[in-house]
Amino acid sequence: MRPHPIRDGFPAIDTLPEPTRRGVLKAMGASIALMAAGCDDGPPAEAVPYVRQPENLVPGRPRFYATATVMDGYAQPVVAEVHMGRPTRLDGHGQSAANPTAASVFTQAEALSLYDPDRLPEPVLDGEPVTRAALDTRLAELADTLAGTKGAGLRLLTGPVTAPTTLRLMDDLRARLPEMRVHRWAPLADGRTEAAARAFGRPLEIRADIAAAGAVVCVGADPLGPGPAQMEQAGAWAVRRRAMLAGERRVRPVLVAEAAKTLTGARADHRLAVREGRMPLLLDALAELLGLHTPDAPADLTLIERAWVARATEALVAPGRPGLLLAGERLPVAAQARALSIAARLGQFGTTLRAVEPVTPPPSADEGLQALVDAMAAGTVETLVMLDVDPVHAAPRAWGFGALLELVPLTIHLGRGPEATSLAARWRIPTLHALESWGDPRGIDGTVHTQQPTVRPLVQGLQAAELLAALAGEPRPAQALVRETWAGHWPAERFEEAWTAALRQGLIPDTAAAAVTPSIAADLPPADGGSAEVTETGVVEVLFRPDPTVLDGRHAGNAWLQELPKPFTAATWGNLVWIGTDLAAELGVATGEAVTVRVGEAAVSGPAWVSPDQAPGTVVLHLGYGPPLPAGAADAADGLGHDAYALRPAEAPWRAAGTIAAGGVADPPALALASTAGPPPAPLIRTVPLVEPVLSPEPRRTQGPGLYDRDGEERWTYPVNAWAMTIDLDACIGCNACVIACQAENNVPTVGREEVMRGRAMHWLRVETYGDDFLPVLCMHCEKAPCEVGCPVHATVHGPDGLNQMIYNRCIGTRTCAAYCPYEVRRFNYLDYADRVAGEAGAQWNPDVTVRARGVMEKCTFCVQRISAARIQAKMDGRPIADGEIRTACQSACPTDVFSFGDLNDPDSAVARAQRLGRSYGLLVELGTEPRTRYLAKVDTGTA
Amino acid sequence: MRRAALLLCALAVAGCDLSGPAPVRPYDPARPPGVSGAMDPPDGAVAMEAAAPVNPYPANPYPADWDAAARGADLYRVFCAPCHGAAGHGDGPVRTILSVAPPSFHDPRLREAPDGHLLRVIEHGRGIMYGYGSRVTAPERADIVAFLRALQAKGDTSR
Amino acid sequence: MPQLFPRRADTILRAAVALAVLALVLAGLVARGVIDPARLTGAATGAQAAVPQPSDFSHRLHAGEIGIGCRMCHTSVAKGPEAGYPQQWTCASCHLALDPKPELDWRVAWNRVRPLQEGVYFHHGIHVARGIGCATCHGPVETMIRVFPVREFTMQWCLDCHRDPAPALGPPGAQFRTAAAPPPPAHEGGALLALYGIEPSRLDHCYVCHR
Repeated sequence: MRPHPIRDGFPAIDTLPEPTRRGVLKAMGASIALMAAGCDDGPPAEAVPYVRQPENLVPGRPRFYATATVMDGYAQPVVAEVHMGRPTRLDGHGQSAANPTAASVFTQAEALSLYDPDRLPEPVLDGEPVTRAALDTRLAELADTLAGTKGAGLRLLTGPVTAPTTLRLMDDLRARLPEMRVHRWAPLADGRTEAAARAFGRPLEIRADIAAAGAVVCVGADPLGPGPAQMEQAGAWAVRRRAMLAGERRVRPVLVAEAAKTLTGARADHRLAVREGRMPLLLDALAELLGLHTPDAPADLTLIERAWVARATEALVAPGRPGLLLAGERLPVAAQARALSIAARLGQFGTTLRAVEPVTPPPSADEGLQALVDAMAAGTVETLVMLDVDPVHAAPRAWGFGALLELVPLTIHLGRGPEATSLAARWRIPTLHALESWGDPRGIDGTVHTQQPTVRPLVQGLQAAELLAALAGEPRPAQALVRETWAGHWPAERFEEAWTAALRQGLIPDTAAAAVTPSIAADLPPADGGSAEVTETGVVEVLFRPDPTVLDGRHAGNAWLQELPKPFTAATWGNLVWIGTDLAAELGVATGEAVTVRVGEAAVSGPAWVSPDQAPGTVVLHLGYGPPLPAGAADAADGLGHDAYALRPAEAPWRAAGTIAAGGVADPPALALASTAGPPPAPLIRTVPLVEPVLSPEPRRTQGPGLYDRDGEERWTYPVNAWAMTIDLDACIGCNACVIACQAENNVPTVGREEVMRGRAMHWLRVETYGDDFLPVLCMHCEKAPCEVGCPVHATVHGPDGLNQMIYNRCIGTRTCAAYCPYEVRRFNYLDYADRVAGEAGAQWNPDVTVRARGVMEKCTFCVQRISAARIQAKMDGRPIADGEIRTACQSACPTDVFSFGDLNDPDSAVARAQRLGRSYGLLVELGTEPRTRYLAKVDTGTA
Repeated sequence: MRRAALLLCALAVAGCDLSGPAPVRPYDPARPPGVSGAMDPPDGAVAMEAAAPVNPYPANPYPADWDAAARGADLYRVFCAPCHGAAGHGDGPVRTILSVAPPSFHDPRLREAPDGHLLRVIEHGRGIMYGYGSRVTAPERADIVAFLRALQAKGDTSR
Repeated sequence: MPQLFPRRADTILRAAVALAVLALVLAGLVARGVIDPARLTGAATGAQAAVPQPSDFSHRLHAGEIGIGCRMCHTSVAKGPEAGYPQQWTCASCHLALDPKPELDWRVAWNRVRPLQEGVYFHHGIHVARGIGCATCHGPVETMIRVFPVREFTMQWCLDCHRDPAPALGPPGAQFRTAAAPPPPAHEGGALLALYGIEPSRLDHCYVCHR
């Protein structure tokens, strides 16, 4: 019996109730009424002008403000695009050498978190919402009380801080209230500064110059991975890589030893998968081969490990450019110190490594969280002020911070609002977002970046600096505080002019941290027995890592980052338990099945992700999910993922011994793309050898007759511009900055966990991962586009400037175009996605881009709004469009300059030159689509 | 039969859903969480554009052969003439509702005033005059002053 | 006796009844004013289409009798996509000309006369830069007490001009004339097309106005 198309395809149809005549008429009546109601006048019919319009504002054209967001205390300089006083998007501002406008996913996502509806709108004191004025009164009373007792019982808990204003106010408070204690803590705090202190006798910060380095050897380090220095290091890596490909044609190898996959490891020429506990042994062996260290007993390394160490040694001492040795910041401090000493002895300081005065003052022993917890348990803490930290979620669970909070009479939390700690505090004060704040955070090189607000505060909140000033009894607005700090920096008569110039460019010049020549001790620092390798059978090394998109939990409420497919796993809205193939075979689990990990008394269950490149006996847990919220508290991140903090021991925050077993209760993972741990179906990602980076000629169409009947005849002509793009696969590191940039620029909605599981994620640009290769895929704007043939209503047509146009008004939602598109780049609004997120993303939306309703197809438009704006401006100015004048959103955000966009009609344009390169190719050309988005093949420089 | 009825229902339920949520466009009224299409920038914030834009005038609407005074004449007619009068005597049609008369540009005080004074007054206002800094950009203000000088050079030909 | 009606006559009858009911309901809605075909197609013009405003501001008085130019209030018409609405400061320049200047703390919520549909983007600056006068599209605004549209502002109307722009173009410098001002010297539309470098065949693809 032949399958029936409807009944067998949609078995649920038989369960629908039989429509009665009455029911049909009712439905028709209702729909007509809805139709009448739906045919309203459209967009808001009111226009409310300014009371006093700012100068130099042209309505409809955005203005740009230089400011900074803050990550782990370090400034991330940005340029905010502001439409009529409302910031919509953030570009970077000079971090990446390869692309000054590059910004990481975390920085860009701040544009959305500004409008987060979960932000606390006003202070809540003892459960009662109060006005800002009432809060000021209460703070003044508190300041009086504290002044009377000289701050006895007052403890301040803060995260990493670099801003001179905040530090000055803390010192001021310390001077006024000598009994006060300040505690500094962060869930992601590492041992870098301490390691430098051990190696060189004083705390220093170490900066790497990857661009200048010959060989780069990373032992547990991930310079291309998430962090405040990611953009700078990725840019330097790209400069280095391009120099290698362009002139030198000699390999500058990257060698990486890692326990689990990292972005740096994916681009390594020689990668070693090794347990993290063995990394100190690798460093010892390295030192031995370099003649710097004579061990008591020969190192117990495997053959593969030995081979890798030999290669690394050879690379580091190779003539020519000096090498660079980086040890991961989460390795034991002793190992990091040894690595620094080895690097110093190899002469890397002054060439590829730089030691500078610490930008953030390192905490001394009695200023950590442990000391605070002890004091709270002893009952000596009267007032606890917590500045933008979440210890109830992220502090070691064994300490029971939540319970200890109840012992403190007055707990004040300054934060976003929905954190677990905020809900447990007596006084909850909303903090201002980076885009609403005045500040002066220091960048990773120490330069002071000026942070200015781009919008007036959307909540009745305080900045940390303002709270500190209020506690000192002298409340002043943040702008005054920051100006005070810098009043003495310039002569008084020049101050206004210099301050305005600083705000305009976003930084105060000549404030970089001073370089220091580290003193090299006679011997290598000792390797202490400390965190030894885990060797018992049945016990695995459990590694705790910040989540690739949510970090330590700070971005759990950000829908863009939750829905961003994490590198390698493509997981969204939840975290996975990474295990290697050895454990998978042993436990008999596949990707997606539940496993339970136990450390000490605590256990968590989560879906497994099996990685063929993971070290044996290693389990990776990602922090940031599953905060212990009180019953009834709602958060965007509620019920997602598993809480790895529950397992994290206090004495070993990054690596612990544990066990793993199959089974447990875990939600299946929401994978945005099919799990692709293996190589792609050839030849999506092509490679060429370094010595001759030329591909074999492309195949012509080979698969039968096409939708366009006559090959070669009837071609589109482009009299003026022919926009095209080239994507350099060799430069892509998989950081996903382009994906978030596209989402921010083009009002791409997030769809939520369930829809992602149905394959309906709306990202116009996706980065596919095949093993270690990253493939950004967006609309190819084909010359012979199948979608244009398929659309029955001409909602997608070819433009006279090369673009494949997508007209939302005409689209009736047949989805034929998506069915015809071989690249699967067309996204359909199955549901009212935009309407669902209007409450949280609506205020961020770009006014130059239409927001799509349900039933409408959408896809990459090459940022047509930017093309239009540039085209019109050029016409008004009476000049042609310059090459590089139009930069698509993805192009602006990429730290390694993967995207080239421009006019093919101009033979000298960057994109025309790129498409003429020997390694240029198109995707799926054998289908005859003639894509105008072309790729540059990866260059093979070694063996992984 | 059921399928036919269902299809009919499907056709009938198609509403014309042209509108949905939209971004905040210029001049849109306020909406949660407190954004609108004309938001005042924070006090003291400084935007990135240079003091003078690179290309002060588009190729149009001013012909290439118009000099500063010609452009200034066009701008004066729109922004200044209602109060200051078509010939600069301070007798424009709005004069009747002003409590203080606008000065005549042919007055010796204004003839001798430096260009900087005129520019500052146009931008920031003076006395009962409101500032025009947000309505005419810096190059346009310079053109208006060029026209005023030309007007003064022509002399006080009436009264 | 052979069947008079074929089998499908039942279906035809039912469909006809359904359509008739639909038509009746729609006609009723139109009669009651719930659906206004003119507004739906965006073609209503003339004084009857004037939009009520929260304030009694009269263009006839300000632009016509007093003679204030359009750009005093719509300042960015030549510079960007939006012509702009006047800030309170502009109104106060004449109506609250006091020293010291009073505190202005209210905003007027104007009702748009012809809101542009979602998905359509219009750029005033480029049109002005091509010599198209305000009155060409907006009509004799300086004669209107309350502004009403004089053109249909439908897509067809926009396309008609885009496909044949010569009649609407003007020489540089003349586009801020109101309808009452003397017309500029006779010009050759074709010459202006060449001067501005306009190619009508490139002005009617979708991405010119829709995105």
